[in-house]
Amino acid sequence: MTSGNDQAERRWITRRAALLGLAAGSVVFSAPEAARAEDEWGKLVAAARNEGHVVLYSAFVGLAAHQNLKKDLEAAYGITVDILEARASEVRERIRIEQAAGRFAVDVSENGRTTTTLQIEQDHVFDPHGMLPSAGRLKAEFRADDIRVPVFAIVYGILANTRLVKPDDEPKSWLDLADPRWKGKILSDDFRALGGGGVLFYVLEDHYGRDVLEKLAKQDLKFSREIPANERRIARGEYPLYVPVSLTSVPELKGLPVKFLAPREGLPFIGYDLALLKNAPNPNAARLLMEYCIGQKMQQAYANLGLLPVTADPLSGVDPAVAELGKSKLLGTTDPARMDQLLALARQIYP
Amino acid sequence: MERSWQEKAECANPARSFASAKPTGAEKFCARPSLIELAENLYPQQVNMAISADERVKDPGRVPFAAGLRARLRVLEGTAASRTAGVALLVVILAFLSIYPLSMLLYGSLHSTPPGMAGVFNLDGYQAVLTRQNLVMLLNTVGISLAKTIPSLVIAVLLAWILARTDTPFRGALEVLVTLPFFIPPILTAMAWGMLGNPQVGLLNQLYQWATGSSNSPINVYSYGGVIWHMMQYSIPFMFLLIVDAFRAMDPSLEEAARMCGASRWRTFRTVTLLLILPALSSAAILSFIRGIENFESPLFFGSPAGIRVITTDIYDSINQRSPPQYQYATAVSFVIMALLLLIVLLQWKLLRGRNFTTVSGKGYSPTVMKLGKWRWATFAFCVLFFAVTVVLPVGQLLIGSFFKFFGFYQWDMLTLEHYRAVFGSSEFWRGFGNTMLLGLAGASLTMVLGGVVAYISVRTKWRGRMLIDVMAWLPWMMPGIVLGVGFLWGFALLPHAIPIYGTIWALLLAYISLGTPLSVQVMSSAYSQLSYDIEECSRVHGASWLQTMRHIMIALAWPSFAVGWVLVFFGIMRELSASVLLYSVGSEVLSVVLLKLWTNGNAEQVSVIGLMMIVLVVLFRWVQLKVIKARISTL
Repeated sequence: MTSGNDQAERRWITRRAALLGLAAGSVVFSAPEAARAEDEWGKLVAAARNEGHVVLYSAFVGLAAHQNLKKDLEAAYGITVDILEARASEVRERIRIEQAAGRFAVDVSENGRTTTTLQIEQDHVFDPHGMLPSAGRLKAEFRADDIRVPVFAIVYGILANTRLVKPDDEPKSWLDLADPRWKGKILSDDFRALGGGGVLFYVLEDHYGRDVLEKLAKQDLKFSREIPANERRIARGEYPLYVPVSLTSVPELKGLPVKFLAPREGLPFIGYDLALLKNAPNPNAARLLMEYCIGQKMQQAYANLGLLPVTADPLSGVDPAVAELGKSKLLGTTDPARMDQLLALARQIYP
Repeated sequence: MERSWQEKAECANPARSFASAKPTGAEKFCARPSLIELAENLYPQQVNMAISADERVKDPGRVPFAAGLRARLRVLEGTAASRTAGVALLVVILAFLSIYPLSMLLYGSLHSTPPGMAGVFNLDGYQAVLTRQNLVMLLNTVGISLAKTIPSLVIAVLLAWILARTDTPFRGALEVLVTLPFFIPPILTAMAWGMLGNPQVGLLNQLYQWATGSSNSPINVYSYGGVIWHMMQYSIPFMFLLIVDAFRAMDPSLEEAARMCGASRWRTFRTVTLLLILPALSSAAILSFIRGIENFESPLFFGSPAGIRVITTDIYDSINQRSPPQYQYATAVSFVIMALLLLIVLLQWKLLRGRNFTTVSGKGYSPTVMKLGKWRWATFAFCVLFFAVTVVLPVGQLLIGSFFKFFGFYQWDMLTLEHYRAVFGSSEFWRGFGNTMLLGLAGASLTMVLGGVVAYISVRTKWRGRMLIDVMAWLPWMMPGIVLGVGFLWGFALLPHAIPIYGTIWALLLAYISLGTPLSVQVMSSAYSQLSYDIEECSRVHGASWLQTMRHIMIALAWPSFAVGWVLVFFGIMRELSASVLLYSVGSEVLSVVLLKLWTNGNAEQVSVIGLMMIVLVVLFRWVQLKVIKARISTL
């Protein structure tokens, strides 16, 4: 018996010693690597300052945080940021034709995940971005690869008119939308198009299957594409419910009789990615911009607007209501490879 | 037998031909101080004369014996070589502005991938177009456009007649006011009408329910009726602007002659007045019909919720809402539409060919208005009602809404000036405004000049190539804006790098000129159609060059139409988005892109502020325009 115990203890000691040895070794070996990485990054920042300029094409039209980005990067590094905004397909086509024509005018692309994936697979317009110090702090659901870096996500919920929907009647689940009491009373972003409506359709189909969507089709949903106007229509009492509404609306609609509802299953979301363009005229400034966007200051700016930050950094000063809602479970997002197929299905179910 | 130039001059204006002239040879037709100058003028006159409908100069000009620059220029003006060179230059310009971007789109419609990407040529795009579903959608689109064009034309003609040919009180002010809806961004009027006419809580329905005690909501703006009504907000003032000057420029003696022969007012209107302005009417109707087919905002706002599908929303979806974008399908659909619209335009040309619509001749006339007696108050009331419904109601919503925190929520504690502060304190807004004003002024002026030249050649000459020029000028109007914007992007980006257009403000300017030329050509064509040839001939006979005649006679007489066209093109540039969003670069942002950013970001209130600013600009421009027109007409 004693010999058995001795053997087990000896094995444990050996294992522990090995582990300790490994840990010590990694510290010894990684310290110079960390220093090297810091040194490389320092050289990049110096090169970026020399370049002094960076151009970003963004598919998020009117994003207020772009002003923060311009001011901060110029103040911190002396780099002027030019941002050109257009819709997703317009940004994509602009980049594609410029690359095809050899006009290298843009450094960084900021676009939805679906479009960025198409650009990677079909247009081949990006270069690897290289090491970014903050990439290690990205949340598990927003991992970067060597081409793209997640920068923020839009999350979607339900908007309810508080005068028409009593708290007890509020939908608690996405499936509650199929309740007959809401027939003819739901205004919706178009399920058959890219955007929030398409994301919601995709995620519901992915989680609950076609049946739920066919039940929803019987609810006589009113599709409308003009999102700002739609939100105000709910506030005016034209309809009691609107789906899907972006969390960014919460700070914008403060003071109106509306409420953002987060169903218990979670919130569908769509991520936005940054990517470095091939032959970027200012590659160092571009990488610095990408790093800055996933840094704490910009992530804080995104959170203040109701966008979901992608890093695990603790943030302060965010509107408590928005911060609370931002902690809701995430239900899922789209797979770019299947998106077109699902849009076709949507057109079938909602002709 | 060909008449000598002397005989032609005598026929043109016998009294003036002999004024202060020596009775020797051709000298009597030119009051010139020296014989050398007289001789210089004689030969160019021989070459340049006879631009009447019956006689065109075909012979090459003779080289005058004076070798001065002026003589050489005069010769160049008149020779067939110079005309051919001029037409060729015009063809090159129009080809670059219209054929080049359209050829990019044609490539896109026949190739599986856009330019610059590997792919194959096929007809998949066209095959996808020719489905039963698309045919139904096309019929739907045409039906909606017809349903809005016909009543719009009737109302526009009535308004134009009232304000240009009758003694209705306050015509000047009413003329400015009834055209205001055209200049308001469609998103804003859609928002306003959405609030006024929605079946749940719309103001108009609430008023009806209050007045009648009923619980019904008779008005539902989210319907075919709503789509058509919203489209009419633009087409009525648009057609009014194209027609009103045709009414104004008409010699009333033609109508007086009809009345003296016993025709009633209605018969005179029907058989004389309307027929004489047929070129302006048909152009306006066709332009409006085409615009109706290409209308995007009205079906998007009011049609989508009601399940109404039209071609433009389908094209928009295929580019912006599909993954990946379906450029081949979108461009193929656009070309099918363009082919159909071209047939309509050719039909119009056939209907108008060979007919004389001259209403302004060398004989003097005084524009008079018809006295309506006590009926003038009825016509005044009609105009005021139109203004109240189409301007006061929606613009009133915008004005009030701009002073409250949220559009449509009128609570005292929400009164604010923050939207005005945000707009006027925004450097991006002022940059966009400045760029747009610059592009608008330059673009409208260049477009009208180009349109004036194209229209002159097309209407007033029988030069070879004029049909080609006219068709080329029309083409951009028939292509949906969303697709044409892509054509410009592809076209300019793929130019050789040595040509510095892409990424500069020039790209926007050229795109705007291309988009505005069809309108400017139609406006000037209608104006030229009304001018008699004897006025031009008289000018030429008395020694004026072609350029002088164009400036002092043709443009001067067509000035009211030129001014109207200028305003239309200018404000079209202010509102143009499809090409702007694809061609603007950092630093050359324009107002429409600024509006898009604000709207997409939920700032409907700031968009209202900018919309109201645009209305103030319109009122100012139109007031100046009408003052100038009045001054010009009073000197005729």
